[in-house]
Amino acid sequence: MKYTLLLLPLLLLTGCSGARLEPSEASGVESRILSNRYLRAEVVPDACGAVVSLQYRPTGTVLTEPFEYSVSKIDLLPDQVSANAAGSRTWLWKEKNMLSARFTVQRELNTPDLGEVVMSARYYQGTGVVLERRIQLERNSSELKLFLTFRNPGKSAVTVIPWENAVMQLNPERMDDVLLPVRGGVGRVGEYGVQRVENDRIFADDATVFSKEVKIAPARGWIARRNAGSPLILAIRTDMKNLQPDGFFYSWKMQGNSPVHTMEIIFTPFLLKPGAEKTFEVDYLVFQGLEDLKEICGDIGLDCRVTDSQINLSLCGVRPVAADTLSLVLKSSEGREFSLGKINVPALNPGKAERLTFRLPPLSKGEYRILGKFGSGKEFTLLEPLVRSSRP
Amino acid sequence: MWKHALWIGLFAAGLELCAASVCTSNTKLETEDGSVRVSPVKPGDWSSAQLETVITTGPSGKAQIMKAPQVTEAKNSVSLLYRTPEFNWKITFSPRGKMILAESELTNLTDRELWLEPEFRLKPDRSEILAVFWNGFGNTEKTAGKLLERRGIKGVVEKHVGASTMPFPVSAAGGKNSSLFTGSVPFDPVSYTAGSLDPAKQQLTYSLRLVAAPRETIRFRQTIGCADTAYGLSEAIIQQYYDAFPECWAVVMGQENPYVWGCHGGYENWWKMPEAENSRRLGITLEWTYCPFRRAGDMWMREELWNYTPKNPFRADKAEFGKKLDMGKITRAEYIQWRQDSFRKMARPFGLMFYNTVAGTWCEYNLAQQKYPDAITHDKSVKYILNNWSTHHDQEIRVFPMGTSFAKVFEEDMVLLAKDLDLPGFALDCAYGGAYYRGPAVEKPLPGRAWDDEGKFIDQSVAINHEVDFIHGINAEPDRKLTAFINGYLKGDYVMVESPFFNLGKFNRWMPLLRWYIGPRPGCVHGHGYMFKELVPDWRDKSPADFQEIMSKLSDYVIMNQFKYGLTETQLTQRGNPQQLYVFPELIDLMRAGWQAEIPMIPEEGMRIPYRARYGNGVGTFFFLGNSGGTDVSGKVRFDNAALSDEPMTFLFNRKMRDRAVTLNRIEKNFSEVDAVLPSRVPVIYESVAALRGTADPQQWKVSSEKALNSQRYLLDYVSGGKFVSEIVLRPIRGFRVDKVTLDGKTVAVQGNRTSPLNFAPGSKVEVVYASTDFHLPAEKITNFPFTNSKKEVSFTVRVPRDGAEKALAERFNEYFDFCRRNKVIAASSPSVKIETVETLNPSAGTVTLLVGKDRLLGAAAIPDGVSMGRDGGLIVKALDPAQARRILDGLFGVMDRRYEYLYPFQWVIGLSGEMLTHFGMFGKTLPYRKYFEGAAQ
Repeated sequence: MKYTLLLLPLLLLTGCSGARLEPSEASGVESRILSNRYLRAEVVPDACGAVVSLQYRPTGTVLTEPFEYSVSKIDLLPDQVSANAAGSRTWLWKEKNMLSARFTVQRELNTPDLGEVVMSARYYQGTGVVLERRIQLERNSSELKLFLTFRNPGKSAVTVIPWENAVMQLNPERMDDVLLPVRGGVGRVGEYGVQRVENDRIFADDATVFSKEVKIAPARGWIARRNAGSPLILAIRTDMKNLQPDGFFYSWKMQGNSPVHTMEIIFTPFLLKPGAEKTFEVDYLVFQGLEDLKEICGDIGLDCRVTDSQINLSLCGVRPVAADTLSLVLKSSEGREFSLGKINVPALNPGKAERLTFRLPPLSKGEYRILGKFGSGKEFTLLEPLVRSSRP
Repeated sequence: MWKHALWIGLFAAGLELCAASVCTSNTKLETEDGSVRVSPVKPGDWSSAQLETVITTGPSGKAQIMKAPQVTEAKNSVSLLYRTPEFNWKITFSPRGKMILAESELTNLTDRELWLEPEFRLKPDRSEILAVFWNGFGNTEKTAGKLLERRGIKGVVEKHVGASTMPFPVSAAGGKNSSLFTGSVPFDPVSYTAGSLDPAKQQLTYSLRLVAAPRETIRFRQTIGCADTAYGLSEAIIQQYYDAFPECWAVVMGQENPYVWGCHGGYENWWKMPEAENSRRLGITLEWTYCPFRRAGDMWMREELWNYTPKNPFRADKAEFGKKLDMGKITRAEYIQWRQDSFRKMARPFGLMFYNTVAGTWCEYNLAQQKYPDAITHDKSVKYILNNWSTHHDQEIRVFPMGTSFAKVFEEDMVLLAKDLDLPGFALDCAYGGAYYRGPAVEKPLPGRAWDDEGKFIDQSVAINHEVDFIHGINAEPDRKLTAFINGYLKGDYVMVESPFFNLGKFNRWMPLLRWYIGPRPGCVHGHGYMFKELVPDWRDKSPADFQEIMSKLSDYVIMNQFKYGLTETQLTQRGNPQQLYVFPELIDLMRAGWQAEIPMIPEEGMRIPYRARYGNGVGTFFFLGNSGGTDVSGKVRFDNAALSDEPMTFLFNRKMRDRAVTLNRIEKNFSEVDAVLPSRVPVIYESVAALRGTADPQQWKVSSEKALNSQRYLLDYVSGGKFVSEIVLRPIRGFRVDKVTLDGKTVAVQGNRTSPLNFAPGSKVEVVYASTDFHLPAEKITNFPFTNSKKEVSFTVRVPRDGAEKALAERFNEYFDFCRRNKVIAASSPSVKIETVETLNPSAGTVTLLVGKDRLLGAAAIPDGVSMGRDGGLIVKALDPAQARRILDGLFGVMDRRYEYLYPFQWVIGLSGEMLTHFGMFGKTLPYRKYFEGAAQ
């Protein structure tokens, strides 16, 4: 009895911060829910194995529109399944996309440290390719991890262009801005014209951009969204090598008064030989307390503001990060570097941003990029802001 | 009968009562001391409504109820003139169909611009009529005591170009049995309308916004009416619009338009080299020639605009007429030459509609910025810059094709192209409204100017409708008018619904509103055919037997929907499914009669008829009944004659079959009742064959028909009922003329399409015989003609006079048999058709003599136009001109197809891949079909 009493708080604690996987139902169709203290993600195998609902639990924010699924019985037609595009799914670029492709659940893992569901679809999106989706959520993490494995069981090689299509929203009342790190000086990627900018920077596809859609040559392996009416930043990340040479970011606005504004990654095409397979990792990260996102460095999201005299950094982790140090360096366009020193970084936890300030020394006229290095060895270079000095 | 009599009485009484007012068969409008009342001729959920005329001065003025008008009365017309210091508003009410038309002249008396919102407010005497509100979009809404309103014409954004749905221009309130409505006239240049139903005020409103320049007089039209709701509230009102304003849905060149009474190629004649025989057999009469130019906004391809850098790489593999063009490498001279050569030769024969740089609404970004900045439509609420749009390589920006610098060049281009390429018409893509132009041209006194909180604007729809009028005016010759093929809901002659029937989400979302706008005009669906991958995602797990079962159902689904909506599919679904081409003649017959919104048909309780439609009016009415279920359905079906004609008529119906049919009609009150048998998955059509005056007594008529190529015979047996007197109204049948009408064997005089009054008694028998105007011989004479010998080799000769159009036309026979040879219908060794020149008419056996024009050969004067046979067995084809000759030849070939049948097999098409056909072993095969419109074949 006394052991039970002792275990109870531990169980409760585990229940709160640990990961869970449980079966459920969404709009009348079987689903799986992965949850921990930060995220609740609902996955529907019959709808492309999509993450049809994603909730950030500390604020109660649902980052997806309600999922709808129905099966119609119409004379002369096979049963017609329809699903809306709520949430995120993986499609194949250049293949007619279907929202109701069926996956079968292959494996499930439900431990306090990790909840995981593995699903597989043969003839995915009508092609000869098998797609396996492994979706996992760790304890104490505001990051949902997806491992996408493409297999070719056929007898001839196929070209595959994975396409991560995310219809998410931070605020249903007002369209989010989508943040796209863009490579400067690039007008075309593969067969597509892309948004051309002079220098590497973060392109904010916001309400002042009247193009219905933008294609962006990626300068980083992530795409994100922000909203002045939300304390959250949602980012999707993959390895930069998955985007080179012909991958790009894509974003599409419904416009009018609709909040719909997609964030999409079109991976670089690859040839899958018979019997071969290839796996990509795609992560969904939620940062609370950042107003904007300038970079993702490992498990840390960074925002950065520059004033005349200082650089203010905001840092937020998607999982607990041990206390560390951070050194900043400014690099001029001529390649000269100026150290701004090293300061301590407190331990980071999801759900809370920490602010750091570096004082700016007098600088000669020019533009300087901000480079950072953590004591743990992780490094970053911010696309923006740049530090500008007009002193002679 | 009692109902007819009552109506006649009421109508007569109404005319009497309304002597100083306006009266239609449905609605009455009266004025007294400056106030106006509207009432239904047949009282229902309301008996009268006060009409208030209101003007709001924008942008922030108050609504002003107009009072004390000067009233002028004329025969069945009333004018009200309201005078204010700022403006005069004259409204003239007159009957239009079953509704009342209000034509207004609003004159700005000031030296400043006025922003005005004229409004009709109807205040009915009973609240029962306010149970339901229809705001003009696709659905009605229960009021449930709350204010319901619609402001502006922007609906749901439906297309990637930001096109939005647009309400039908009406505001209606409905009760259990009747409705009351007010609105404006579709396609009139209006950019803003609003409507509301306020139960608290017991008030229905409809208004439109206008901008009047100093001293300008603006003309606009409004409507008032009422309708029964027995066959649908919205449907009855829409139907009144079709009947009252047929010109809104009239097709340029009408029934003689050579392009619109068929299906479009779905790129069969654009990506590939067009072939006359292929087109004829697939029913293709027009084609959507997508972007035959390099730079969006520059259709003429001006030299100074040719060289530019598009945002995306130039399209390198653009398919045109069987050739792949690299739009980056081709020179201007080469492309101009290619386009000229192709269009001049093929545009008119194949109905190649020139893609009109979308609808004159999108232009390459830099071109617009540099040359036409005034034309850019900066409506930021919808997409107005597209990074990859019509040409595939250009970034394009929305422009306004009316009254702007772009419009001037665009209209010049259309005129130049029409002449240079001898175009049959233009294709207008995404012809939708929902984008407001607020640029400098809005300062000009252009039609359709409106206003809102952001200022003055004109909706894109006004410009596109203007553009269609412009297109219709380019060629003056009445038989060479240009046709507008539009994708959308605006003006035009042939309407594309840019969704296949199988795109259930999109198609069902667009219907019925889009269909109401299309109205009686012909149209088609367009898209990815069967969408087999989407419909059957697990197709790889299916067997060939599964495929055949699924595919035959999908094909029947196409057929049912084609008849339901009066829209054709294309070769994308016809190949492999001969059933679709089999039903094509009936489908086109019905489309020619014109799809109608209201279907006044009452099936017996329990009859499941998921697919229904009505085409035509009065004696030209057709009803379609489709049983898509797995078992036959039968029962009594009543057709409401009172809803088919303003006159109290009885219509006699028969199954529409190709050879023969018999139907017993039971007439009671205003209904004709038939015993319908609806076989599973068979479209059943009832056609009105004649009409008589309605009588009080129940009657029974046995109606039979016998149809042949050269004649049609209808027998009307009066089985039971009382004696009565009536003329017979005969229906016109395209390609036929009334040859004779007899009553009990005695010839009856016919004038126009009516006989003289006749005495009928039980046992009376009427025979109506029609003779073909094109075929003067039975079909067997053609199918037995020795076009080929026993070895299936061509064995006949075409004879033509010297120096005329005949020689070129005679090549159609070679095209016919070349097609047959290529497709193994005749022997591979078959020679070509021999064409020889003759000096005298000698239609000997084994010859076809082709004559185009008057007195082409000695002795030809006595030969009737059309197809006939000489005494020695030679065929004679005679026509007044080449156009008629082509039409007659196509008809002749249609008859020859019965002998030289070719069933299009499955092949790779969009929506049904080669991989699928290989998987199912269906390449080159066809599914079986049933000749279910032929009694003899069943």
